[in-house]
Amino acid sequence: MKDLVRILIAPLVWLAAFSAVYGLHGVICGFAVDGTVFGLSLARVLLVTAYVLAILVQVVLLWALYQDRFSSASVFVNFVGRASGWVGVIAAVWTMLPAVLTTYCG
Amino acid sequence: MAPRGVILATTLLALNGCDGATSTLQTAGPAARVIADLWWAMLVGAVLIFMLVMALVVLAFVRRSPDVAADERGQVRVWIIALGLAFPMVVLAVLLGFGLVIGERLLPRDDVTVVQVSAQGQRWVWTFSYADAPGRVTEDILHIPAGQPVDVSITTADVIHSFWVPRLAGKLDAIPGRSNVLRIEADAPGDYQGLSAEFSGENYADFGFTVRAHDAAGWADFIAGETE
Repeated sequence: MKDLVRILIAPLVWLAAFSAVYGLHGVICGFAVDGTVFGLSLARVLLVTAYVLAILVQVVLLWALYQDRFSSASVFVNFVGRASGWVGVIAAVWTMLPAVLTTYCG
Repeated sequence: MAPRGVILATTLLALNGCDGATSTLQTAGPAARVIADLWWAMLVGAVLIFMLVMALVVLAFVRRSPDVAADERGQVRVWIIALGLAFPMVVLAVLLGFGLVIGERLLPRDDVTVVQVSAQGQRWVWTFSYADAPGRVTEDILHIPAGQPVDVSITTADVIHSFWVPRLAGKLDAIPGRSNVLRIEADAPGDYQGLSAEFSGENYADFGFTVRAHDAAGWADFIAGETE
């Protein structure tokens, strides 16, 4: 069971983060969130913060997957778990990039 | 028929479908042109990738079996990492980049020269109104000035429809209770065929409209109420 968690944790967390960031994007546009923080658009600050948090969580997960105390006895499970951890980091950076780079409410 | 003749005939037959009043490739406005450019780039890319894959398939039949055991790491590097992972990732990354840039260029940004019109879909008629001519309403014909950007505020009185003038711009859904704005522009005066790109019931096949682009004098006449 723990091995399954090691393999799936990064993609599952990415899935949740993806839904959360784009959900936030929908809430911002749906409720016409405006205003500024430190001279920056509040909506953009919220989206960038959510994006950075999503990446940080994936980086922490990847770091944990390389730690001995979280490792499996199986070399194969460790390899697949770490590979899925890298996939999680890259997926977080790439798939949520439009939320911070493009116009957020067309 | 020789193979070359078959290829020529089928290609001409296929290309014939790219012509006509609702062709996205016969562009008549800047937004449609940008979309068509992306389509052509994707077509060229798809053809090149298809040819690469077909060449590899042929190679697999022609070439003698490699000694996999002798160079397993090299095989993994080429076939799994380079062609299996890196190649599709680069292709998808480039496509996403293009998509984002073009998507940004198509957005209806604030501009004082933009003409504002409204479109409401209702089974099975499109009703258009004009900010420059309050109270003026037309059915199934949208009048616009040629050579000038026009923001169409799209909504629906019943089910979801989709406003689409293939030669002028992309399509945008008409959602109940919401207005979505699509920017269109016609390079030259003329009639452009529009249609709903969302199935909406039994009369859907005839649920179209016309965009009539006027020259400056014609647009002034329309706004003044001198043309229908």
